[in-house]
Amino acid sequence: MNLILAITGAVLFLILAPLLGGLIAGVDRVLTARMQSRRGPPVLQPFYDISKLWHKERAFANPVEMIFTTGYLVLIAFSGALLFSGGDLLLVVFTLALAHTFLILAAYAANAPYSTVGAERELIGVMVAEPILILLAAGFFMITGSFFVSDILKETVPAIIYLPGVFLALFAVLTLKLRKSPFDIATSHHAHQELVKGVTASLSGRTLAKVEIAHWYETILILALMFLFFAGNPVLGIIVVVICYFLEILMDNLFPRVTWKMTVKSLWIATILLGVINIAVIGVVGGVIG
Amino acid sequence: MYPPELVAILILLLVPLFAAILLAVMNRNAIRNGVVGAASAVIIAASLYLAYLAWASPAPITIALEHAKLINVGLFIVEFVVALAIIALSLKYRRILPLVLGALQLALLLVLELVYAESVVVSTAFVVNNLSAVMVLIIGIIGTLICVYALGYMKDYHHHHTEIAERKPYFFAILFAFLTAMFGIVLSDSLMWILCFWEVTTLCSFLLIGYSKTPEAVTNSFRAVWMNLIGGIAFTLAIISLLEIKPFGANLLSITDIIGYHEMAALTVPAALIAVAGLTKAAQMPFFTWLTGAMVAPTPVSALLHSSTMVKAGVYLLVIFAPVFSQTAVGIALAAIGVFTFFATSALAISQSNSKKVLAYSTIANLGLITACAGIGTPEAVMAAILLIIFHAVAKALLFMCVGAVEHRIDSRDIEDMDGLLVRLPLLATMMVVGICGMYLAPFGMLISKWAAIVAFLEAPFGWAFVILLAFGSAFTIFFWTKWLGKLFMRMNRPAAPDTLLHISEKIAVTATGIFTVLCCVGFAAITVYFVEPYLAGIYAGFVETGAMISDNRLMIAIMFLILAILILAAHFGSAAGKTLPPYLCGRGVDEAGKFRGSLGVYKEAKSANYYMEEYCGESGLIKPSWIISILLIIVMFALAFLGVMI
Repeated sequence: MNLILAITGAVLFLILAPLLGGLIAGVDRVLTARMQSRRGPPVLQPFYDISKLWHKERAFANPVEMIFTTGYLVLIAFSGALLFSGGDLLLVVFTLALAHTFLILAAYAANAPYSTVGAERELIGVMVAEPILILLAAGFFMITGSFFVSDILKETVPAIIYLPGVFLALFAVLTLKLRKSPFDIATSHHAHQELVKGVTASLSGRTLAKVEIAHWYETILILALMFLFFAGNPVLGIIVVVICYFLEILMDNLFPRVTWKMTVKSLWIATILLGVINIAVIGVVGGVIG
Repeated sequence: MYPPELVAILILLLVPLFAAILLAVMNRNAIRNGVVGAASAVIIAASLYLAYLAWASPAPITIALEHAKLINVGLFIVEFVVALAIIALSLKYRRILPLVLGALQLALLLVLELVYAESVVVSTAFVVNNLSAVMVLIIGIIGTLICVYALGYMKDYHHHHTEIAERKPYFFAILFAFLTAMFGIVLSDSLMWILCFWEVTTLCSFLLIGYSKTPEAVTNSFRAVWMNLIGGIAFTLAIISLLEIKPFGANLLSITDIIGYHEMAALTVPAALIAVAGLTKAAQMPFFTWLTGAMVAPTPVSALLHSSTMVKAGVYLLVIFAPVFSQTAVGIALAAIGVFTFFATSALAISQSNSKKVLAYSTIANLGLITACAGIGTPEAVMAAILLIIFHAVAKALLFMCVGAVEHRIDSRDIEDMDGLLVRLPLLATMMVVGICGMYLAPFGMLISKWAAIVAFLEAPFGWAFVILLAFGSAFTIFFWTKWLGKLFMRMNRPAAPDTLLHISEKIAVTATGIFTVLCCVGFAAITVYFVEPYLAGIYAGFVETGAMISDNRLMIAIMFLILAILILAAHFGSAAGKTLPPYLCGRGVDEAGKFRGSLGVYKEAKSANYYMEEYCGESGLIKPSWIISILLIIVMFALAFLGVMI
């Protein structure tokens, strides 16, 4: 029974996540455009983009890019499938880091100055996000006694009550993971960014399409992580996730010129202030109560 | 007739010793190759056999010797000679600190021998449990492969460094003597014997670091010796304090008895002293600078010190004392030092472009994690510690051997010069990729072990604080390894290195270690089930063989391996149909050779360098505060020890 449930979760994620992720990207573009007093593209534009990219001529700066981007896509999808099948949160986090390593290597391998700088900054992004993701897993373990999503979902009291700081820290990191801010990092969607698409500068056609699809998978993955905090109360969870995403778009448009240095500093201050203190409080209180 | 276990043990102790003597007196290349090859084959066979015996035996193998008293005297003479040698060399080079510490050590040894001679009883000579079996395999296989590697390496070394006097007999003799001492440490049951071999490793590392006799090498070797002498002195004091306890019916010099001792509260002071001994040898904060300085030695020395010997002796000592640490507050303080070392040195590694230095900091960081696990001392933590020891030994030996061989081919050990290495030196670079991936990426060994460490921390008191430092430290780790890995894939349009030919010995050692690394990663479940868990079951009465954290995820990890395997196959056999275009340079054209015309008409190569974050992670800013914090932690540890605080 459990196995069937797990496989269903994984398969549903693998099929539905790119559709939902693409749709979210489309809505995001429309909303952003409205905030900037533009009309914006059709909601389905991300899908049109992918289909166009897929039929482009195969060209690359270094043939290993194809393997690396495929690895990126497959591992992100695997990581998400693991989450949706009720797997181990720590393994999800580690797989995510491995996937990003592939993307970064693809950018390095292109050997162009822009993509190298993009790779370095993407790497900084991974470095900034890693502690909070590990702390998130640790926090869930401390309150539920398990790293397994299937166990966490069984809890009736939403984790947000115990882990508000960790949740806020994750929300802060969301900016980075959704490639909103900083504008001078990696694959930010801003037209004015100085790196000319950073990591993906030398990717084209199918390799670029794969990175886009992987990004959709990751969006769903991260939003699902936020949802986990509201396990036991799914309606509230979905509402909060939607609000958070909207806030991200808003913040993105309010602070369009945040640089990576500011990001590292502000995010780690947020992680330390919110996440670390939250974990410490739980640790101390838990230690006292037993 | 001796039992087979004893024969294997004697082979492991005596064959390297005889090889060392032979190598010291014979100075013909052909003879040296023969002796090193034959000795290595015998040692590898004996360690495999002994490990098999340990695995097959339900209880740890214990061996008592008739002539223990005689051996005691012999080993004491060895200790005496070691101390005298250090004093003599300090006098020769006029170094005050090593001289003072050496004299102190000698005085303590005399006190031990003259005042406590009666109370020193060696009931069991050797104990082979699954942990010592694992250590024997690491020393026996990785250690000897490094010696084999040194055969080819030293030829190139003297070819590149003509100013350094060739002293190969000396060099190889000490390498093998080192192996004997390491086998002695992991096989002996008596702390007296371990202390003797402990001091021998201090002397051997001292002599090897100073091999080139350049002023820098001499300075660094003396730094290594004085720091390790502190450890030796702490060790001797620990033995004296254990003898002072005068327990009823137990021999506290025997490791088996210590672990089974019922009055842990009496052991806090010796435990703290042992912790200091372990911290110095394992190059933890604040004693880590000797290991970063040790890289002036020829690379096989670094490979040996970092992977299978020396530092592993330090963590081995801490791991066998883990049951003592688990019940005392000393353990928590020790774990704090370890995890802080992991955090600080991982950050320091970011600022380094010298590949050997990056490897050195990463070694110290990982040893910090092992120390932390030993300090926590729960069965789960010890499991993580043993796994870390295994995976770190193989991957780090591989990386050092690669870096050493690469250095002789491209005349640089700077990571910035390693771009395109996959095309220029395919074999070495591939092995380097294997080693680096083995060090930090899922689903390979080190990450699995780190994962086990996180789980173990979370279940221990104050573990959450350690997890926080670990989380940030891991992030640093990802940063410095990935940017190195990226370099290897950059500029793959470069021509092959002029001299790609490897010495046959280097090729054998590097390939074998590479294969070994992959095997360990794939077979981690088997290692856990067949070696680590039986050991824990033997040490901790209440331990149930679960391996829960990993076993539930075995399928997922297997799938990850499968995905990676398919990707690697696809990279080799997949079609590369398509156009290869020059990289994007904002409109500038880059030609076939990777060069472009700049705006002022300059014609130069398109190159880019990594971030090093000197302002945040530089040695100048980080080392001093780390020293202060770690020294404070050691003071806290001793305060807790003298107060006898338990958990």
